[in-house]
Amino acid sequence: MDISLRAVTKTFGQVVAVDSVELDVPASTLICFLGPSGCGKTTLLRLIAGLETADSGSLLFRGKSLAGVPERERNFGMVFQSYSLFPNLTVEENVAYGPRCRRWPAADIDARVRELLAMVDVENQRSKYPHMLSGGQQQRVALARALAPKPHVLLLDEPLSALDAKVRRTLRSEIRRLQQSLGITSIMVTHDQEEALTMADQIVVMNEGRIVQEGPPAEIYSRPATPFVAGFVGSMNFLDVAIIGENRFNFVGHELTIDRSGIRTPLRGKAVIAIRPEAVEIARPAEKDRRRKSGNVLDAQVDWIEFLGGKCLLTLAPLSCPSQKISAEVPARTVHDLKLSVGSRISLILPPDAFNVYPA
Amino acid sequence: MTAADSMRERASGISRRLLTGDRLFRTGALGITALVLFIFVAFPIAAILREGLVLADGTWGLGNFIDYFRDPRFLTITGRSLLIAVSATVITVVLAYGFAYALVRTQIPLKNLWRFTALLPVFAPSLVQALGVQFLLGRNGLVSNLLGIRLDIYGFWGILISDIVYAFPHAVLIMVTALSVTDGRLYEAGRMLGASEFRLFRTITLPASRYGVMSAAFVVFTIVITDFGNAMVIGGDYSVLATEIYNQVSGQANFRLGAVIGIILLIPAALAMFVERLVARRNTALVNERSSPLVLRKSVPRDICALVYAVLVCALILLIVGIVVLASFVKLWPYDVSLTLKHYVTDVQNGYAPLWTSLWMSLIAAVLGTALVVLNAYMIEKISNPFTRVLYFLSVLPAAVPGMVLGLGYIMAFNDPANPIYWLYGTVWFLALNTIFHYHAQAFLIATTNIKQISSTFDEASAMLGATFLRTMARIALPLLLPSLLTIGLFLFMRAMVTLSAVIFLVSPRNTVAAVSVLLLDDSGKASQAAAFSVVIMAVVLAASAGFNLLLGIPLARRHAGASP
Repeated sequence: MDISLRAVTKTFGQVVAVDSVELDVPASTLICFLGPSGCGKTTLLRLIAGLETADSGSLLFRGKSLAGVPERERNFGMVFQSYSLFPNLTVEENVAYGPRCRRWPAADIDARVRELLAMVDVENQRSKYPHMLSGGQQQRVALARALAPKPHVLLLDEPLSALDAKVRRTLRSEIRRLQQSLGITSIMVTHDQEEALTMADQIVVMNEGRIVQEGPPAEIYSRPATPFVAGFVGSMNFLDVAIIGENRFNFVGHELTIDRSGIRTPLRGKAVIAIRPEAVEIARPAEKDRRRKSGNVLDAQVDWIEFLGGKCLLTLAPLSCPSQKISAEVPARTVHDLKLSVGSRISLILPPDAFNVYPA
Repeated sequence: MTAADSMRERASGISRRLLTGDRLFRTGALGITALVLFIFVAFPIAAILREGLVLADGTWGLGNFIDYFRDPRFLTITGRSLLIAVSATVITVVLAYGFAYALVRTQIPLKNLWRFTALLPVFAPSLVQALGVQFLLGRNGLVSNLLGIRLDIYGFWGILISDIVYAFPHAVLIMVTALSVTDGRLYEAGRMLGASEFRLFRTITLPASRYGVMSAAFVVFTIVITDFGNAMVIGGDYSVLATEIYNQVSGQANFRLGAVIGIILLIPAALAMFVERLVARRNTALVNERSSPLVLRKSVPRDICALVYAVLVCALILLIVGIVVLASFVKLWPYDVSLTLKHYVTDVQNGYAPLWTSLWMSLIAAVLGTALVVLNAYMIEKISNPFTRVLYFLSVLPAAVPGMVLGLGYIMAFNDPANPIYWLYGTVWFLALNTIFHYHAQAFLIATTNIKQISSTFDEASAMLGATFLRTMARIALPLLLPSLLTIGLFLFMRAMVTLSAVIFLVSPRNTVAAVSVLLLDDSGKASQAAAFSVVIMAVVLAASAGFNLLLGIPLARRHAGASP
């Protein structure tokens, strides 16, 4: 393990920003702290960086405690949310800053700067000042500057949030590729679930100072441990149901069966079941009756259609309970073929294996 | 017709009559702004330029200046002024940088006390510093008396020390601002890259504050080269440009030579203003809305050094100001130190009457000045055309005109029975007007800054709802501007109480001001009475600003917090 946190807690006045967090970061992986603003993810990153001091708990780097080691001696590289390049230094001087602090020989510094500027593809901007660069270029320089002193760990604090969507997407894959080719242990903070899902080896979802779930992106997405994670990562339909038997629920008068191993619920009472909009299917007339036999089919009215390009987001009102809306994300093709418009009656299918069940 | 204008016309349901009235009001208000700026800024400066550039035979040319620089005596005086100004600038800027650093970038205790002490010299006329230095190091000073040595402080060293003390607070204020404007993220980035505290200072703090340093340097240079009071009190026979003007004009009625020296003094001051404005524009680019405030770290050695330095500097300032207070209460400084109040029974002509004149004049300057300044700032900010740009230039021009030069310009412009406002000449109102326009630029910039902050949002909303110019000004702008109105009023009041350089030419035996009395007392060898009179002035100024803060500070703070976006 490159970095281990043991019961790390940090408070600011009355606010508990980080609440007894336990975490292990394996070497050469990219870990993402994901959560809404104020969830403590940035504080946690700053604690690891050494920019904040924990109230209690311990922080280990390769088994050795980091207590009392100031940030400048940790040799962790950091990329800040809005670059924080030194405005009075050129691109080259910014990248050379770290090696100069370490008193590397001039020739080594020169070679290192050259190498990094090539790596992040800003060689031809080397003698410009930061304000002359675009946001994307500035962030590349910031990345080069953080990597220049050969840090043990790379910390990224919302590195892409200040950039526009297109640049963000390019830099996302570039940072990921660079991280993998250098094999550098990295921790990234983000509130953008798409960023976390595409870049991370492991996602750590946080809320109110605590870790809610950690795991690989696919697992976080398909098996959210709590309704919070389910709602925060991607969008989700939550249905209030009554339990009527093992894996059998009553939803506004319809019986729904769910088919997921490893889920245990009591045999009575209430529960919340969750299904992603893209898992909800619209039954074609031909298959309607066949599917109806297998259950989990509801008649509904189209309440609203949002065109998203390749897909459409339908808001559906079940006929038996129009106030309990269900979202369905379907190919635009389907909407066209079935000639759906606001007011159309359809049958929707909730596949038994697409559910997650949570206590009410 | 401006865009706002046509927008207002298109707004439905607003009567034509109201719009006509509004137009009349705007034209009238702009007319007042233009009139006062032309009469009280442009005209006197033109008068002094004409006096300096018109030759004896009535033609225009630089002959007067050529004659001036041919005279070795004047060359010497110019050289002395430059030497003092450069030395004082270097020393003051270095001292003030350290002091401001201690106030802004360390965690020393009692910061408000140190800041207040450092600003003390601002509350006193620019001759109290010299009085203090004289009581401390002069012929009959404390040091000479205690050590039995004879220091020769009269001349270069005396002026230098007094002017450093005089200019120090101005430099500190600028540096505090410069050091406060910073981006905490840069320090974090530097630390993460392994930089030492010294490297952080060298690569982040120093470059970020270099414009502040330049700005402070020019301000100090201007203050020192145009300072009249201290040079008069402690200069002895060591004549500098500012005292030379006075001697030429007051002593020998040589207005032409006075004008020539005045124009020479305009050059560094105008240059300073130009550079300062350039610097102000560059400085704002260093921070943006994403910058985070700097969080100070604990460092005991740093704080101990800073505290020792702050205490030392404050002790020196207190010593120089305090010794004036002390000397005013003892029988014969420094030989007989038994306490007495006899120096407070002043035997200058008119006794304490000048103090009351000063108070009355300062109140007029505060009230009338605030009204004029805010009107000017509002009209110039709201109506943008080539004509108001000329008015803007006239509004900030006084910053480049030393008080002596402006005062001389007022004599040349208005001391003429043929002048339509000659009836004002020599009255308290005339002194107040002179003071208002002497400090117009600083007050105008405070007002403009505040008007700019509120203009874009509330103003447009008000206009879109169909409000007239007058209504927008009265209902939206003035209430929001209230805190800055009071600041401007206090600023003008305090300046008017201690001003010396401009009014020295304009006082008459009937209407003289407090600072002039101090100068006359000192000139006639009554240093202790001069000290006593200064103490009274300082007490009034301190009481006024304390009263201001006490009476208005709390509701103002509340109001201000509510008004800011």
